[in-house]
Amino acid sequence: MGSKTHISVKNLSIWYGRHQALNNISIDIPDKKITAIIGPSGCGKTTLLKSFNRLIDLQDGVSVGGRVLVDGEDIYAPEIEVTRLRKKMGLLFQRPQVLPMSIYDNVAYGPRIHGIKDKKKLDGIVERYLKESSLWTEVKSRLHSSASKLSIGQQQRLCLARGLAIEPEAILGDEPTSALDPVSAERIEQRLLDIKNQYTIVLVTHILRQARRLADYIVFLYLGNLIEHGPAEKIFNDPQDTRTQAYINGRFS
Amino acid sequence: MDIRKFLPAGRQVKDNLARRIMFGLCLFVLSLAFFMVFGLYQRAKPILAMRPLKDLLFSGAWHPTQGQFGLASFITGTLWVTTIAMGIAVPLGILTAIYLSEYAHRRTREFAKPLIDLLAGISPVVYGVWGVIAIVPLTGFSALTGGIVLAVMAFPIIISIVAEVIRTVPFEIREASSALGATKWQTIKFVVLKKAWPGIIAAVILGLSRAFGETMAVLMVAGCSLGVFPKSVFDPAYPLPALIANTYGEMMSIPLYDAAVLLAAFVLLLVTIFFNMVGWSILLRIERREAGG
Amino acid sequence: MDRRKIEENIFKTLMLFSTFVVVGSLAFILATIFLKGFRALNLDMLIKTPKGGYYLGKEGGILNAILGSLILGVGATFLALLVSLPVVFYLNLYLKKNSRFALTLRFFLDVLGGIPSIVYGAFGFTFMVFFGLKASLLAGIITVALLIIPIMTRSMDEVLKMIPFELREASYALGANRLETSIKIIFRQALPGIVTAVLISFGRGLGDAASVLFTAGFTDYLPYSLFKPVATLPLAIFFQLGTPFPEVQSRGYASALILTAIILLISVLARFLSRRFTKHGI
Repeated sequence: MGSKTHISVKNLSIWYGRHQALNNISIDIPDKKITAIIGPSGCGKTTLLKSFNRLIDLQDGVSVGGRVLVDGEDIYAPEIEVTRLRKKMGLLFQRPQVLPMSIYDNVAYGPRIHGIKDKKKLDGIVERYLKESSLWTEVKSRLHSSASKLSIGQQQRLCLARGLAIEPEAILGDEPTSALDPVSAERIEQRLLDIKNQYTIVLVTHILRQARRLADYIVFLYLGNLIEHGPAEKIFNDPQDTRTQAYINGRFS
Repeated sequence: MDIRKFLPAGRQVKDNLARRIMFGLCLFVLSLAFFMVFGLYQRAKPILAMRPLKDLLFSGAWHPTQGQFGLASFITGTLWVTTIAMGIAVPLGILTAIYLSEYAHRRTREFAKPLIDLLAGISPVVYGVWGVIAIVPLTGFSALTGGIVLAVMAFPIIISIVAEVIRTVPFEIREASSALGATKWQTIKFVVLKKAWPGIIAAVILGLSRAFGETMAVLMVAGCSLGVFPKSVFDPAYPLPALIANTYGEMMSIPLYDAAVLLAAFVLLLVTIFFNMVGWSILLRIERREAGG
Repeated sequence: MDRRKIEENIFKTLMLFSTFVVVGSLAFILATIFLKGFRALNLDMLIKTPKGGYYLGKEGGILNAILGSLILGVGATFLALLVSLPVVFYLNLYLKKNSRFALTLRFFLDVLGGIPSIVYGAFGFTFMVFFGLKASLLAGIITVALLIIPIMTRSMDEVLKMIPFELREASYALGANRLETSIKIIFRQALPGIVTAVLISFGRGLGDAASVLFTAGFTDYLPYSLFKPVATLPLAIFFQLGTPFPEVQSRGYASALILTAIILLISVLARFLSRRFTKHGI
């Protein structure tokens, strides 16, 4: 592929109580590319994604085997400060989850937490990332009104701005367009393409066409197992495994 | 950026400190029940050392000035008013809960709920005033009056728990029953109540415990005169909590008097803790079963 | 008619009757207190303290008890909040949902909430004796705080449980820690519910008499020191009703009206606040 590895998953297995969600997964996620994790629902896509910023830690009775390396560092090692790790990995949720505060504060929340107090600097950050997620012109006159009053599509772009404002190195998207109307979805997709040479992007999606449009690299999961992974072109045009063939030909979803 | 914890950042120190303080407060709350048991036991110990427990609980002779501290008449009084209260509150409470959760229109339900909450919020002393004005003229200062007032005070807890338990009965089960041609009442009788009965038992136990410990209202309406063993519902009764409340001014004046009164509080504490542990364990089990599947 | 139809109708009638009795008893209580109390109510009761012989029918009012109850109630609610708020955040954000510790703590809170207030009063008394405290505002505040901690914590707990888990995830995903998420996100979102829980607990503390009987004492003076006894409204009602003089007793009814009106006001306010704010948020 010619690209260096950003996130490296080695023999990762994850259990929720006795239920095994992921079984011995090993993949390398390339730097500054879009990687799409595809597969039928319940196959562990979201679990894999949330293991990259250790958001799965919040679940009840979760146990993790194997390792996830980010920039060569094992993120499940005891000396890792999880808030710093999460600052490196911005996350976009399925449904936009705005924080109960103003539009401005939603974007400024992350930077403030990570120590930026200067008002001018924050103003700059808010403007820059609202522009970068193409929301600025729509909200610049009402930055201090409640974020929950925005439309769902606008909320998701706000979440993107909020995620970018912590200046992450990677962006993790958990079906980030699934709750949006087609126009809003297209806008988010466009933004992701625009910024892909600045960030490593990992997308969970169940929309195959979206994966085709965006992804450089595909990971196919089935029932917690890694079935196949590789450059998007190869997976879509010449899948090796019969299950991958069946899935991308729409024989199950 | 380095993601290791090289130097503890200020915000992480704060988080850790907060965690410790919070944990400490949790331990404090956890230990509160033990403190109460221990504290009251300590103060009741002098009399337990002087008199056999059997005499204290089963003798009816209460003459503090002569050093006689038999609690039996008060325990009997408590049993009378609680039994009367439960006799009224249990059927009415359960039927109301079934009506509100199964038959009533959503609007009626939303109208009734705050009213029942309000019933729980009214001061016990105000219940007492109501009892004196409205019930005493009919039934006198008696066990019956005490029971009636207590019944009204026990309504909210019984209704809210029964309604909550009925709510947890899955809709599919009702559907299945209706699909077999059962009437609404048959479905309730054979399916909903059958599924909900442990929770209803819990509601009764917790209502009982509430009535058992209620003090001021009973003190004001039940007649509370010394040396009376109620023989009918129209006799005055002097329940245990009322005894404790009534002696607040004088109990330090006679030796062992305070120990006897705090023994009464200790007994009340143990009984209510027991009832509550049983009641809440049942509800906890229902909740977990529901969450589990 | 079908036999099962008849049975259903009988039970339906019984249920309607029960509901009527339950709701009717509330109406009955309120009507009794308002009608009887209103007749005896006058301005003096609200703005004067008891003069000599008040309890024999001489003039004066119960301002001492009104103020005493409010101050004691506010103090106790504040103290309880200092314990409840951290506990409830610990339960919901620092512990996992099914942690054994969380289950135990919730169970104990429920059990504590079922212990009668007279037992809290008696415990407060043993506590006072142990620390050499006299019946005082401070002792009353501590006892009532203990009494309302379980109520307050459990009702706030229910509020926090309702907040979508994704909101927390969103905050954590930005690199916030639990404390920051608690204060800046969850507290903000739960604020209306928290205010409601606080108001309900305040009302409960205000109305309770059995716990302050031993611990707060009673006085004809306005509250002026944490270490002096303080009058409370429920006890003022109790004492006035306990006198053999009809005019003092009817002042007791008026006092009951005042207390009920305050508690009604608080619960209406609580309801209003929770309605008003839950519409916004996220």
